[in-house]
Amino acid sequence: MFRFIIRRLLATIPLMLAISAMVFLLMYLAPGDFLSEARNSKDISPEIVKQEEMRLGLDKPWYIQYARWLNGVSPVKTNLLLPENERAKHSIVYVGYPDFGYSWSYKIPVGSLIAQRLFPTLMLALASTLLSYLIAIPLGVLSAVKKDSVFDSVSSFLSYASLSIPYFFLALLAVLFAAVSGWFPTGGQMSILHEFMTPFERFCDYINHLILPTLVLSLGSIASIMRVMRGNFLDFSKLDFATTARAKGLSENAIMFKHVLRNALNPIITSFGFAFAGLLSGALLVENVMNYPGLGQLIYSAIVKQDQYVVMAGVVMGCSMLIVGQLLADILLAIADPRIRLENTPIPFVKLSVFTVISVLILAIFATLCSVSESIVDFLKISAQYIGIILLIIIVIMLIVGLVWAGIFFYKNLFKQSLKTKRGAFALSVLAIMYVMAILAPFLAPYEPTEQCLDKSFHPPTAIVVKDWQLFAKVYKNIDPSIAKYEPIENDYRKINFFVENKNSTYKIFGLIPFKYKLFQLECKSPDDRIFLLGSDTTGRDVFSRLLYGARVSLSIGFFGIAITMVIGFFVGGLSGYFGGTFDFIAMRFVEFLMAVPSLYLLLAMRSALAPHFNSSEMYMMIVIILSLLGWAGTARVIRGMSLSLSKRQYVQASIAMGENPVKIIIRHFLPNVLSYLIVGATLSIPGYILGEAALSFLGLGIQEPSASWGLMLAQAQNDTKVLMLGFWWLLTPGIAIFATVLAFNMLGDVLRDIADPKKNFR
Amino acid sequence: MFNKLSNLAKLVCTCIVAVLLFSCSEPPKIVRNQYPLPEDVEISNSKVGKYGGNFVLAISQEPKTFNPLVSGDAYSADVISMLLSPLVSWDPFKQESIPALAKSWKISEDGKTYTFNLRKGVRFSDGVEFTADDVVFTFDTIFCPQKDENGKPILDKRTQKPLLKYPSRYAGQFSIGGEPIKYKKIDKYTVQFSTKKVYAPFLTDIGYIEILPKHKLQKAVKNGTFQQAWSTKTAINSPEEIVSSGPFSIFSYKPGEVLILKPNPHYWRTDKHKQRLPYINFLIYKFVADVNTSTILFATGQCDAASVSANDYAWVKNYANTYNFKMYERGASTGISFIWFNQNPNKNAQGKPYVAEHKFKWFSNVNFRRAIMQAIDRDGLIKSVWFSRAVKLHSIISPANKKWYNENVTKYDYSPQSARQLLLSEGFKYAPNGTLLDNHNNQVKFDFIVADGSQNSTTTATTFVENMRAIGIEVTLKFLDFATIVSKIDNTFDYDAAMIGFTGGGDPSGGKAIYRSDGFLHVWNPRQKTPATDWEKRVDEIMDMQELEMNPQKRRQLIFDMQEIFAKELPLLYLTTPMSYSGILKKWNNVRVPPIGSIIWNLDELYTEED
Repeated sequence: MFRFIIRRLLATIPLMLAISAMVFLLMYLAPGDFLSEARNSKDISPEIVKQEEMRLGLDKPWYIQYARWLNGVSPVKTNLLLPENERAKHSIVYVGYPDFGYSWSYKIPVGSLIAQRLFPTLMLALASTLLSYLIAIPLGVLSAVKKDSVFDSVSSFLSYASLSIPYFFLALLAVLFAAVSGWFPTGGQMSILHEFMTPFERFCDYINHLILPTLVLSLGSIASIMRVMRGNFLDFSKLDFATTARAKGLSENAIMFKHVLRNALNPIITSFGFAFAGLLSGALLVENVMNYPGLGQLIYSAIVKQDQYVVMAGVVMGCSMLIVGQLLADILLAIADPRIRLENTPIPFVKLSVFTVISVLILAIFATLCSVSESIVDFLKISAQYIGIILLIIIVIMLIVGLVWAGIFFYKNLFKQSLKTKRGAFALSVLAIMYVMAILAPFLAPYEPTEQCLDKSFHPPTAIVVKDWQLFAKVYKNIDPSIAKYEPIENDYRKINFFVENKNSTYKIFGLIPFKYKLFQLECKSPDDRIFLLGSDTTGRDVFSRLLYGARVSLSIGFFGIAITMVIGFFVGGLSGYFGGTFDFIAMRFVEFLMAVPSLYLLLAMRSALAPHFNSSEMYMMIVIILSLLGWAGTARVIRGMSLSLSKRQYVQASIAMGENPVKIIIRHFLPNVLSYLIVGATLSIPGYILGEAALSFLGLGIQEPSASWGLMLAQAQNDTKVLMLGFWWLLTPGIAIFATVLAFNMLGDVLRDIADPKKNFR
Repeated sequence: MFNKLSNLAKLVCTCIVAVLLFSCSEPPKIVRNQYPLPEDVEISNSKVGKYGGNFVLAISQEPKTFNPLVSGDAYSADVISMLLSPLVSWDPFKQESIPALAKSWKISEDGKTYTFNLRKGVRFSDGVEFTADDVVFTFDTIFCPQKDENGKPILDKRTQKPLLKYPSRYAGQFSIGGEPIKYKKIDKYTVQFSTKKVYAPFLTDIGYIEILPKHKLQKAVKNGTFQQAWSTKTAINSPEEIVSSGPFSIFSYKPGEVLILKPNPHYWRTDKHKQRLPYINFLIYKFVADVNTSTILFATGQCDAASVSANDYAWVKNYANTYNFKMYERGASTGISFIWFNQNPNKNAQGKPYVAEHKFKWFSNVNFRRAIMQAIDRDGLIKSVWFSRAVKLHSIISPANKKWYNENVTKYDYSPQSARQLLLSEGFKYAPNGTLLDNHNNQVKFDFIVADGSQNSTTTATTFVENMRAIGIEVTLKFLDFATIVSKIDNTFDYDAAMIGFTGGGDPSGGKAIYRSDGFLHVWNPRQKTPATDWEKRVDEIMDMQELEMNPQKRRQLIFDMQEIFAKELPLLYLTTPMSYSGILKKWNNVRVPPIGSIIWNLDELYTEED
């Protein structure tokens, strides 16, 4: 056990090196640094700025800065990397405490800053993990015992629902709840007068501030743990030992709670480690929206403020938590399940060192490349454009060939079956409606997404009445412009016409056929008459129209992303399973590397590094590429496992013997076998893309105004406090749209999984 | 096993009990009136109150330093103003300078010499007396020259003036007619300043700088570490090092959490019953993530006072009765916000013009700018973004700056029709699809850079885009972070149009950097060697004249003229300025709300009857 732990920890060193170097480079690429502001402010003389530059080492190229940072962090240091005036104080090699550098914006050492923020985050992580396990396990057992009862179906629906709510949307609702009810604090870790409280009051104060964030954070994991628990419990209760016990005449209770439960708990214990590992990423959005001063909030604001060393330390912390969590999971599994021997899976030492050498070499090449061409950003931009074009072509080919194939496969094998189940039919119809609405947005939306009506700021949804078999919209008057309060005018209606020709429309169906009809329009008496099915936003834009246009971004991003992910995942996984050996080793280490990266932080760092070089539509591509480049690792891993076993089949061996080329073999023989997995996997990972885009746009890092996307629309509710405080609830509808879409995809994925492979557990 | 467990449990229990018992809880008691009052104590006219109570303020940015000569941001300056007193301070009601550390002053007949009589017996918070030496030390530090090995001052190669050891904005500000002001100690309680030329805003400029304690800082000045002295680190580790002469001194500082100030036991003001001010026990600055949070904290009664933006006022006022606070409408704010076009005629290092030639032609055409101005629906913006709690700006000084604001400047009302007409008369024309073309058939379109993050600037920007579309102009929005924007408008000049806001108010001399053609905030074409246009030349002249003009009426007229020029020539397209609001809990007495400025300007006089 001990040796195993040591080995695992050693193996993480190159991983950490690679990740920290990558993040460092990204921070370097991001325009400006901490002194930009000082440089631009004329109050501060250039001499001071230069002096500060020297002090912070900003005048050196990034790899020297990185080496200095590494030198600071490592316990064994060399004085060669120190600034010249400090060199004499130390010998060439000396030992010192790890030093994570200095926070520029807080003006204190990063170490103490992290320590200060670590406690609240750990509290939050622990509290929400404990809470979710305490609630989820009994619920899971209960719904398994009462399988197919009302309780079971209600709880399984609720668990779907809570899995599908975006964290940040839930957090937003929680803040609203706290503000309106006044029962909970609206943010922070402690009260302002905390300093002057008695210890007991302090303790209560902490707890009081912890309740809401904990609830928000644990809701999603409750659902997933509950589902796993239920599944396990059902599986084990059908196994032979349970049958034997029953035959022996044991009471059902004794069987369930003494024998089955213990066995079913094993995998859950393992997942404890993983849950802990994932919490830091999950906490980022919640901490931000709920203003909880933890690590997540610190790192996010540090990325925004270019507080380099805080970001570095934060990412290292995130990685460590992830790695420790995984380690914990392995160890827990070994303790819980005596059949598993950790020592049985040693990492060959030779390979490990080869890997280290290779990764260091790659880094070195990368470093020299960067130092040679200072215009790496231009290089990246150009290559991103080319990559974009190439990827676009790949996607188009994928869409035409692959998706049609997958679609036919889906229709032939899965569609009818999934329609037979209630959930499948429900999910499919919800999705069909969503996508049809997105495609037909210009026809369905009464207004352009950017069309303003400044007189009608925060107009509530228009009421519609039926008179003489015709629809009429009520007309509203702004009775108190100081709080945007509207009231319908009595007996003043405007007729709603259907299939109206709109002369201003420039819409073309599929970009080809000009189309001038709108589904419905208001018969206007004045140019400012509007129909707002879902109200309006600040500048009087129609939320319904924006929701439809936003759906195009939010819904398509999943498809494009998943196409890239699946193509890369399939080929890398397929090839490495087919070839094995060195290719397999390198590819799998790379996959592990990608899986160990705290993706949300990396996403943020990448986004802020590349943002100024792209406009809004390029940004859309950028998000797709970033999300999918981080996402293919999981797919590749599973496909590798599948192709490993496939390649031993006789017909594959036969075609290898006949000298067919590997790509053909993979496409001809592997693809049909794994296609159902790919479809199910795709369905289950699309929500990740939708949520990822929403989160990025929500943080202001994704799609930009005046374009519309669901996350961006929600951001207004977050940034403009009056939206929540004055109760403009209709601006939260994008959250409901995200929820419904994600719910439908999750349900469909589950149904497909059951159909495609009833026995295997896909995740 | 069981034994072990119970031992562990015992240990844990003991630890918890120990923590509960021994961690300090109650705030330390503030000892009042332990030191004799100074000879020249100032007696406040306000109602006599009683000691006690904590005053909580939520601020969204932490002070960056406690060193007044280093600080460059408003948040640090606010905190420092609670700690250190200047010679002269400002009465926001009378709108004039009033004595602070100087009990009186005399201006010589020719207006070039100022003699300050200091208060006798005033002490810093550590008990050391404040004298003329501290004043001289402060100015010595500002003008401290950089010296070479032989002890000779190093001269700047370009200007042949001594380089400063601690460059700060004050050195430039206190050089009048190119010469540093002269200052000397007459006796222990008298300091004399003289300027080469008459300088009208002398008192508000030089009298307002916080005086540094010589006995604490002279070592740092000598050994060259002055700029790192009194940093936030000092406040964290040894707050007692930062001695104060103002109403408060530092009690404790926890970065990211709170800064707590306690009363300065040697403060130089008392009430009529000879009780030393301030009444408050602790002044607590709570650091929060953003302005939204601080507004929410105030609205839910968790902090004592706040300025509330027009944007939030709509909902904050609903909570006034629940949490017992009172809101005050303060009129339009003194800041200005505007959109402008890049009119920089120069070329970059590669010889490419900063602004494409055809675009430069549009942007430098005043009628083009007037047309754009008429096409911006500012009334609509006020209605939708600000819920009618804002006013239009017509020139470069906000209506809030009542003393200097010129009401009768040229104004441009919203009218897309006349905007189109004006464009047509300038040789622009409309293509069949409605887009605007110039006389060389270039489509009129430009990029518009906006700082990301603020909801209001986003809505203003999207409205501008729509307004421009209505007159056939295509505008592409680009959201950038603030630092990038500043570097574009100040260094690289590679942009078409931009939008920012300036905080303003006070004496128009403070706006020199914007108004003058050689100013660095003359954003549309900064740091010109010679004025590019006649009107910019005229503005430069006005700014020179007003500095020498001692007659307030004539000086005001000059500033009025300048505003008319800025309204007529429209280098900036002025947008709106929101109303400002302040709120304070009703439990505080002696609150007097001035026409402009902070609602807690007399924080030392506030008291509460509650415990």
